[in-house]
Amino acid sequence: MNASPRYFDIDRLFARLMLAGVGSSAACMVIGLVMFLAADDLSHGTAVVTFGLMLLMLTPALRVAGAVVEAIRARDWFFVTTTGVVILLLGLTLTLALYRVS
Amino acid sequence: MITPPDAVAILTFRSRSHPVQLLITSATIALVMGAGAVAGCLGALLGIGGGVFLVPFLQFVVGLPLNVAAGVGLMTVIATSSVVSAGSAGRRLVNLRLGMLLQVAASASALIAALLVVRLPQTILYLMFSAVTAFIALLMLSRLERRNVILDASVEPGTLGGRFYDEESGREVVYRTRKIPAALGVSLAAGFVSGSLGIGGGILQVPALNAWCGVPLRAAAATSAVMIGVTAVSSAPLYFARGDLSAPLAAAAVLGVLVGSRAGFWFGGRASAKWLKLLMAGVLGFVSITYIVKMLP
Repeated sequence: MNASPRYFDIDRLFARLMLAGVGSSAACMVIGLVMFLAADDLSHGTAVVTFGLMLLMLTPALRVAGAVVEAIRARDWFFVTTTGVVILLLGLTLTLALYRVS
Repeated sequence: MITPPDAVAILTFRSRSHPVQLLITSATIALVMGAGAVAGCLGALLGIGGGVFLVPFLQFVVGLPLNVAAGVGLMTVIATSSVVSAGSAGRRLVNLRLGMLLQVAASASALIAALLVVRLPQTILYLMFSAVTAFIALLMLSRLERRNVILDASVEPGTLGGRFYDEESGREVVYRTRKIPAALGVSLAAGFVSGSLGIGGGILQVPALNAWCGVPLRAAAATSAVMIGVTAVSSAPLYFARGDLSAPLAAAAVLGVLVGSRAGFWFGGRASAKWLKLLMAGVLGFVSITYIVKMLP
Protein backbone atom coordinates (compact mmCIF):
# COMPACT_ATOMS: atom_id res chain seq x y z
CA MET A 1 0.00 0.00 0.00
CA ASN A 2 1.18 3.51 -0.69
CA ALA A 3 -0.70 5.01 2.23
CA SER A 4 2.33 5.56 4.52
CA PRO A 5 2.66 8.96 6.25
CA ARG A 6 5.97 9.49 4.38
CA TYR A 7 4.11 9.31 1.05
CA PHE A 8 1.85 12.14 2.20
CA ASP A 9 4.78 14.30 3.33
CA ILE A 10 6.40 14.07 -0.11
CA ASP A 11 3.04 14.74 -1.75
CA ARG A 12 2.57 17.90 0.33
CA LEU A 13 6.18 19.05 -0.17
CA PHE A 14 5.84 18.90 -3.95
CA ALA A 15 2.41 20.55 -3.74
CA ARG A 16 4.05 23.50 -1.91
CA LEU A 17 6.85 23.66 -4.50
CA MET A 18 4.29 23.70 -7.31
CA LEU A 19 2.29 26.47 -5.66
CA ALA A 20 5.51 28.46 -5.19
CA GLY A 21 6.30 27.94 -8.89
CA VAL A 22 2.84 29.08 -9.99
CA GLY A 23 2.97 32.02 -7.54
CA SER A 24 6.31 33.35 -8.80
CA SER A 25 5.23 32.79 -12.40
CA ALA A 26 2.01 34.75 -11.77
CA ALA A 27 4.04 37.56 -10.17
CA CYS A 28 6.25 37.75 -13.28
CA MET A 29 3.16 37.83 -15.51
CA VAL A 30 1.51 40.63 -13.49
CA ILE A 31 4.71 42.73 -13.55
CA GLY A 32 5.30 42.00 -17.24
CA LEU A 33 1.70 42.80 -18.22
CA VAL A 34 1.83 46.11 -16.31
CA MET A 35 5.04 46.99 -18.19
CA PHE A 36 3.39 45.86 -21.44
CA LEU A 37 0.21 47.90 -20.85
CA ALA A 38 2.20 50.96 -19.84
CA ALA A 39 3.25 50.76 -23.54
CA ASP A 40 6.59 52.41 -22.99
CA ASP A 41 8.40 49.13 -22.35
CA LEU A 42 7.01 46.55 -24.79
CA SER A 43 10.05 44.35 -25.23
CA HIS A 44 11.01 44.22 -21.54
CA GLY A 45 7.37 43.57 -20.59
CA THR A 46 7.17 40.69 -23.07
CA ALA A 47 10.47 39.28 -21.78
CA VAL A 48 9.26 39.29 -18.16
CA VAL A 49 5.94 37.71 -19.19
CA THR A 50 7.78 35.05 -21.21
CA PHE A 51 9.99 34.24 -18.22
CA GLY A 52 6.81 33.80 -16.16
CA LEU A 53 5.38 31.42 -18.78
CA MET A 54 8.59 29.37 -18.72
CA LEU A 55 8.39 29.11 -14.91
CA LEU A 56 4.79 27.96 -15.32
CA MET A 57 5.87 25.19 -17.73
CA LEU A 58 8.32 23.91 -15.12
CA THR A 59 5.64 23.23 -12.48
CA PRO A 60 4.08 20.05 -14.01
CA ALA A 61 7.60 18.73 -14.63
CA LEU A 62 8.15 19.24 -10.89
CA ARG A 63 5.15 17.02 -10.17
CA VAL A 64 6.66 14.26 -12.32
CA ALA A 65 9.96 14.68 -10.44
CA GLY A 66 7.96 14.22 -7.23
CA ALA A 67 6.45 11.04 -8.65
CA VAL A 68 9.95 9.68 -9.37
CA VAL A 69 11.00 10.34 -5.76
CA GLU A 70 7.83 8.61 -4.50
CA ALA A 71 8.40 5.65 -6.81
CA ILE A 72 12.04 5.18 -5.78
CA ARG A 73 11.28 5.45 -2.06
CA ALA A 74 8.49 2.90 -2.41
CA ARG A 75 10.88 0.64 -4.46
CA ASP A 76 8.05 0.35 -6.96
CA TRP A 77 9.95 -0.45 -10.17
CA PHE A 78 6.90 -0.38 -12.43
CA PHE A 79 6.19 3.17 -11.20
CA VAL A 80 9.90 4.11 -11.55
CA THR A 81 9.80 2.92 -15.18
CA THR A 82 6.65 4.82 -16.18
CA THR A 83 7.74 8.08 -14.52
CA GLY A 84 11.23 7.66 -16.06
CA VAL A 85 9.75 7.33 -19.56
CA VAL A 86 7.57 10.43 -18.99
CA ILE A 87 10.69 12.42 -18.01
CA LEU A 88 12.49 11.18 -21.14
CA LEU A 89 9.53 12.31 -23.29
CA LEU A 90 9.56 15.78 -21.67
CA GLY A 91 13.31 15.95 -22.35
CA LEU A 92 12.71 15.00 -25.99
CA THR A 93 10.08 17.77 -26.39
CA LEU A 94 12.47 20.32 -24.89
CA THR A 95 15.34 19.16 -27.12
CA LEU A 96 13.17 19.38 -30.27
CA ALA A 97 11.98 22.86 -29.21
CA LEU A 98 15.52 24.09 -28.52
CA TYR A 99 16.71 22.87 -31.92
CA ARG A 100 13.47 24.10 -33.56
CA VAL A 101 12.61 20.79 -35.17
CA SER A 102 8.99 21.71 -35.85
CA MET B 1 4.17 51.37 -38.45
CA ILE B 2 1.19 53.57 -37.55
CA THR B 3 -0.36 52.47 -34.27
CA PRO B 4 -3.94 53.53 -33.41
CA PRO B 5 -4.04 55.55 -30.17
CA ASP B 6 -5.73 52.86 -28.05
CA ALA B 7 -3.51 50.01 -29.27
CA VAL B 8 -0.84 48.60 -27.00
CA ALA B 9 0.74 46.48 -29.68
CA ILE B 10 0.14 44.80 -33.01
CA LEU B 11 1.01 41.14 -32.92
CA THR B 12 1.83 39.33 -36.14
CA PHE B 13 1.46 35.56 -36.40
CA ARG B 14 2.44 33.21 -39.15
CA SER B 15 -0.79 31.29 -39.76
CA ARG B 16 -0.30 28.37 -42.18
CA SER B 17 0.11 30.33 -45.44
CA HIS B 18 -0.44 34.00 -44.67
CA PRO B 19 0.59 36.24 -41.77
CA VAL B 20 -2.21 37.39 -39.46
CA GLN B 21 -2.07 40.77 -37.73
CA LEU B 22 -3.93 41.34 -34.50
CA LEU B 23 -4.43 44.59 -32.68
CA ILE B 24 -3.87 44.20 -28.94
CA THR B 25 -5.49 46.87 -26.77
CA SER B 26 -5.92 46.97 -23.01
CA ALA B 27 -9.55 45.95 -23.72
CA THR B 28 -8.31 42.80 -25.52
CA ILE B 29 -6.16 41.92 -22.51
CA ALA B 30 -9.07 42.53 -20.11
CA LEU B 31 -11.42 40.44 -22.29
CA VAL B 32 -8.96 37.52 -22.42
CA MET B 33 -8.39 37.78 -18.66
CA GLY B 34 -12.14 37.70 -17.93
CA ALA B 35 -12.65 34.75 -20.28
CA GLY B 36 -9.78 33.01 -18.52
CA ALA B 37 -11.48 33.51 -15.14
CA VAL B 38 -14.74 31.93 -16.34
CA ALA B 39 -12.90 29.12 -18.13
CA GLY B 40 -10.71 28.46 -15.09
CA CYS B 41 -13.70 28.20 -12.76
CA LEU B 42 -15.53 25.71 -14.99
CA GLY B 43 -12.32 23.85 -15.80
CA ALA B 44 -11.40 23.31 -12.16
CA LEU B 45 -14.94 22.12 -11.39
CA LEU B 46 -14.75 19.51 -14.13
CA GLY B 47 -11.06 18.59 -13.92
CA ILE B 48 -10.59 19.33 -17.61
CA GLY B 49 -8.51 22.51 -17.62
CA GLY B 50 -9.86 25.81 -18.89
CA GLY B 51 -8.71 25.38 -22.49
CA VAL B 52 -11.90 23.78 -23.75
CA PHE B 53 -13.86 27.01 -23.24
CA LEU B 54 -11.04 29.40 -23.92
CA VAL B 55 -9.77 28.08 -27.27
CA PRO B 56 -13.13 28.46 -29.12
CA PHE B 57 -13.56 31.88 -27.45
CA LEU B 58 -10.12 33.04 -28.61
CA GLN B 59 -10.91 31.81 -32.13
CA PHE B 60 -14.44 33.24 -32.49
CA VAL B 61 -14.36 36.39 -30.37
CA VAL B 62 -10.73 37.52 -30.30
CA GLY B 63 -9.98 36.24 -33.80
CA LEU B 64 -6.75 34.36 -33.16
CA PRO B 65 -5.62 31.63 -35.57
CA LEU B 66 -6.18 28.14 -34.13
CA ASN B 67 -2.51 27.40 -33.46
CA VAL B 68 -2.10 30.66 -31.51
CA ALA B 69 -5.33 30.08 -29.55
CA ALA B 70 -4.09 26.56 -28.81
CA GLY B 71 -0.80 27.91 -27.45
CA VAL B 72 -2.69 30.18 -25.04
CA GLY B 73 -4.99 27.27 -24.17
CA LEU B 74 -2.03 25.04 -23.30
CA MET B 75 -0.69 27.65 -20.87
CA THR B 76 -4.05 27.92 -19.07
CA VAL B 77 -4.27 24.12 -18.91
CA ILE B 78 -0.87 24.04 -17.16
CA ALA B 79 -1.94 26.73 -14.66
CA THR B 80 -5.23 24.96 -13.82
CA SER B 81 -3.47 21.63 -13.55
CA SER B 82 -0.78 22.85 -11.16
CA VAL B 83 -3.17 24.72 -8.87
CA VAL B 84 -5.77 21.94 -8.74
CA SER B 85 -3.25 19.12 -8.27
CA ALA B 86 -1.41 21.05 -5.54
CA GLY B 87 -4.77 21.61 -3.83
CA SER B 88 -5.67 17.92 -3.85
CA ALA B 89 -2.31 16.83 -2.35
CA GLY B 90 -2.56 14.54 0.66
CA ARG B 91 -6.20 13.60 0.03
CA ARG B 92 -5.27 10.42 -1.90
CA LEU B 93 -7.65 11.38 -4.70
CA VAL B 94 -4.80 11.46 -7.21
CA ASN B 95 -3.91 7.97 -8.44
CA LEU B 96 -0.37 8.74 -9.55
CA ARG B 97 0.57 5.12 -10.37
CA LEU B 98 -2.28 4.92 -12.86
CA GLY B 99 -1.75 8.53 -13.98
CA MET B 100 1.94 8.08 -14.82
CA LEU B 101 1.26 4.86 -16.77
CA LEU B 102 -1.34 6.68 -18.87
CA GLN B 103 0.96 9.73 -19.06
CA VAL B 104 3.44 7.78 -21.19
CA ALA B 105 0.77 7.44 -23.90
CA ALA B 106 -0.57 10.99 -23.44
CA SER B 107 2.87 12.69 -23.55
CA ALA B 108 4.09 10.74 -26.60
CA SER B 109 0.86 11.51 -28.43
CA ALA B 110 0.92 15.22 -27.50
CA LEU B 111 4.49 15.53 -28.79
CA ILE B 112 3.57 13.91 -32.12
CA ALA B 113 0.43 16.09 -32.39
CA ALA B 114 2.43 19.28 -31.82
CA LEU B 115 4.78 18.27 -34.64
CA LEU B 116 1.90 17.29 -36.99
CA VAL B 117 -0.62 20.06 -36.28
CA VAL B 118 0.73 22.59 -38.79
CA ARG B 119 0.49 19.95 -41.54
CA LEU B 120 -3.04 18.62 -40.84
CA PRO B 121 -6.18 20.13 -42.46
CA GLN B 122 -8.20 22.00 -39.82
CA THR B 123 -11.51 20.41 -40.82
CA ILE B 124 -10.19 16.93 -39.98
CA LEU B 125 -9.18 18.06 -36.49
CA TYR B 126 -12.54 19.79 -35.91
CA LEU B 127 -14.57 16.83 -37.15
CA MET B 128 -12.67 14.28 -35.06
CA PHE B 129 -12.88 16.47 -31.99
CA SER B 130 -16.58 17.23 -32.42
CA ALA B 131 -17.48 13.53 -32.82
CA VAL B 132 -15.49 12.44 -29.77
CA THR B 133 -16.97 15.11 -27.47
CA ALA B 134 -20.53 14.39 -28.62
CA PHE B 135 -20.01 10.67 -27.97
CA ILE B 136 -18.66 11.24 -24.47
CA ALA B 137 -21.45 13.71 -23.61
CA LEU B 138 -24.01 11.00 -24.43
CA LEU B 139 -22.00 8.44 -22.46
CA MET B 140 -22.02 10.70 -19.40
CA LEU B 141 -25.77 11.30 -19.64
CA SER B 142 -26.41 7.55 -19.75
CA ARG B 143 -24.42 6.96 -16.56
CA LEU B 144 -25.71 9.71 -14.29
CA GLU B 145 -26.90 7.47 -11.46
CA ARG B 146 -24.04 5.02 -11.41
CA ARG B 147 -21.38 5.14 -8.69
CA ASN B 148 -18.07 3.38 -9.15
CA VAL B 149 -17.10 3.02 -5.52
CA ILE B 150 -16.94 -0.08 -3.35
CA LEU B 151 -18.16 1.09 0.04
CA ASP B 152 -16.49 -1.84 1.88
CA ALA B 153 -13.06 -0.34 2.72
CA SER B 154 -11.45 -3.75 3.36
CA VAL B 155 -11.55 -4.67 -0.36
CA GLU B 156 -8.05 -4.81 -1.91
CA PRO B 157 -7.87 -2.15 -4.68
CA GLY B 158 -5.17 -3.95 -6.73
CA THR B 159 -2.03 -2.35 -8.20
CA LEU B 160 -3.71 0.39 -10.24
CA GLY B 161 -6.79 1.01 -8.11
CA GLY B 162 -6.97 3.26 -5.08
CA ARG B 163 -8.80 4.33 -1.96
CA PHE B 164 -9.76 7.75 -0.64
CA TYR B 165 -12.12 9.46 1.80
CA ASP B 166 -15.26 10.42 -0.11
CA GLU B 167 -17.02 13.53 1.19
CA GLU B 168 -20.26 12.65 -0.58
CA SER B 169 -20.76 9.21 1.01
CA GLY B 170 -18.87 10.23 4.18
CA ARG B 171 -16.51 7.25 4.34
CA GLU B 172 -13.43 5.68 2.83
CA VAL B 173 -14.08 4.19 -0.60
CA VAL B 174 -12.08 1.68 -2.63
CA TYR B 175 -12.02 1.13 -6.39
CA ARG B 176 -10.24 -1.12 -8.84
CA THR B 177 -9.17 0.11 -12.27
CA ARG B 178 -10.44 -2.02 -15.15
CA LYS B 179 -9.72 -2.00 -18.89
CA ILE B 180 -6.20 -0.52 -18.81
CA PRO B 181 -5.75 -0.91 -22.63
CA ALA B 182 -8.88 1.22 -23.15
CA ALA B 183 -7.52 3.83 -20.74
CA LEU B 184 -4.20 3.87 -22.63
CA GLY B 185 -6.04 4.29 -25.94
CA VAL B 186 -8.06 7.21 -24.58
CA SER B 187 -4.84 8.76 -23.23
CA LEU B 188 -3.35 8.60 -26.74
CA ALA B 189 -6.42 10.42 -28.08
CA ALA B 190 -6.37 12.90 -25.18
CA GLY B 191 -2.69 13.66 -25.79
CA PHE B 192 -3.35 14.25 -29.48
CA VAL B 193 -6.27 16.61 -28.80
CA SER B 194 -4.17 18.49 -26.22
CA GLY B 195 -1.14 18.82 -28.48
CA SER B 196 -3.13 19.91 -31.53
CA LEU B 197 -6.06 21.95 -30.15
CA GLY B 198 -4.58 23.20 -26.87
CA ILE B 199 -7.48 22.05 -24.73
CA GLY B 200 -6.97 19.87 -21.66
CA GLY B 201 -6.94 16.20 -22.62
CA GLY B 202 -8.95 15.57 -19.47
CA ILE B 203 -12.09 16.27 -21.47
CA LEU B 204 -11.67 12.74 -22.86
CA GLN B 205 -9.91 11.12 -19.93
CA VAL B 206 -12.24 11.89 -17.04
CA PRO B 207 -15.42 10.44 -18.62
CA ALA B 208 -13.55 7.41 -20.01
CA LEU B 209 -11.79 6.58 -16.73
CA ASN B 210 -15.10 7.02 -14.94
CA ALA B 211 -17.44 5.16 -17.30
CA TRP B 212 -15.15 2.45 -18.73
CA CYS B 213 -12.40 1.86 -16.19
CA GLY B 214 -14.36 2.10 -12.95
CA VAL B 215 -12.45 5.05 -11.46
CA PRO B 216 -14.77 7.23 -9.31
CA LEU B 217 -15.45 10.61 -10.91
CA ARG B 218 -13.59 12.59 -8.27
CA ALA B 219 -10.49 10.37 -8.36
CA ALA B 220 -10.59 10.42 -12.17
CA ALA B 221 -10.83 14.24 -12.17
CA ALA B 222 -7.97 14.64 -9.65
CA THR B 223 -5.70 12.19 -11.51
CA SER B 224 -6.55 13.85 -14.81
CA ALA B 225 -5.83 17.29 -13.32
CA VAL B 226 -2.22 16.21 -12.74
CA MET B 227 -1.97 14.56 -16.17
CA ILE B 228 -3.28 17.44 -18.31
CA GLY B 229 -0.47 19.72 -17.08
CA VAL B 230 2.23 17.19 -17.92
CA THR B 231 0.55 16.53 -21.29
CA ALA B 232 0.46 20.27 -22.07
CA VAL B 233 4.16 20.62 -21.21
CA SER B 234 4.84 17.79 -23.68
CA SER B 235 3.79 20.07 -26.56
CA ALA B 236 3.91 23.70 -25.31
CA PRO B 237 7.70 24.16 -25.83
CA LEU B 238 7.16 23.40 -29.55
CA TYR B 239 4.53 26.18 -29.78
CA PHE B 240 7.06 28.47 -28.11
CA ALA B 241 9.82 27.48 -30.54
CA ARG B 242 7.50 28.03 -33.53
CA GLY B 243 6.56 31.54 -32.39
CA ASP B 244 2.89 30.55 -32.00
CA LEU B 245 2.69 31.71 -28.41
CA SER B 246 1.41 35.23 -27.73
CA ALA B 247 3.07 35.96 -24.39
CA PRO B 248 0.83 38.91 -23.29
CA LEU B 249 -2.42 37.11 -24.18
CA ALA B 250 -1.21 33.87 -22.60
CA ALA B 251 -0.28 35.74 -19.41
CA ALA B 252 -3.67 37.52 -19.31
CA ALA B 253 -5.51 34.21 -19.77
CA VAL B 254 -3.35 32.43 -17.18
CA LEU B 255 -3.90 35.14 -14.55
CA GLY B 256 -7.66 34.97 -15.18
CA VAL B 257 -7.59 31.18 -14.92
CA LEU B 258 -5.64 31.27 -11.66
CA VAL B 259 -8.37 33.38 -10.05
CA GLY B 260 -11.20 31.39 -11.65
CA SER B 261 -9.80 27.96 -10.82
CA ARG B 262 -9.57 28.87 -7.11
CA ALA B 263 -13.31 29.52 -7.15
CA GLY B 264 -13.92 26.30 -9.10
CA PHE B 265 -11.87 24.20 -6.72
CA TRP B 266 -13.76 25.65 -3.77
CA PHE B 267 -17.08 24.60 -5.36
CA GLY B 268 -15.70 21.22 -6.46
CA GLY B 269 -15.69 19.51 -3.05
CA ARG B 270 -19.26 20.61 -2.45
CA ALA B 271 -20.95 19.64 -5.68
CA SER B 272 -22.52 16.20 -6.12
CA ALA B 273 -21.16 13.75 -8.69
CA LYS B 274 -24.51 13.74 -10.53
CA TRP B 275 -24.49 17.52 -10.85
CA LEU B 276 -20.89 17.41 -12.10
CA LYS B 277 -21.77 14.76 -14.71
CA LEU B 278 -24.77 16.76 -15.96
CA LEU B 279 -22.72 19.94 -16.21
CA MET B 280 -19.94 18.09 -17.99
CA ALA B 281 -22.33 16.55 -20.54
CA GLY B 282 -23.73 20.01 -21.27
CA VAL B 283 -20.24 21.43 -21.74
CA LEU B 284 -19.20 18.62 -24.07
CA GLY B 285 -22.37 19.04 -26.17
CA PHE B 286 -21.75 22.76 -26.51
CA VAL B 287 -18.12 22.26 -27.57
CA SER B 288 -19.18 19.64 -30.12
CA ILE B 289 -21.79 21.90 -31.74
CA THR B 290 -19.35 24.83 -31.70
CA TYR B 291 -16.82 22.96 -33.80
CA ILE B 292 -19.46 21.62 -36.24
CA VAL B 293 -20.71 25.18 -36.78
CA LYS B 294 -17.14 26.35 -37.26
CA MET B 295 -16.64 23.77 -40.02
CA LEU B 296 -19.64 24.97 -42.04
CA PRO B 297 -18.76 27.24 -44.99
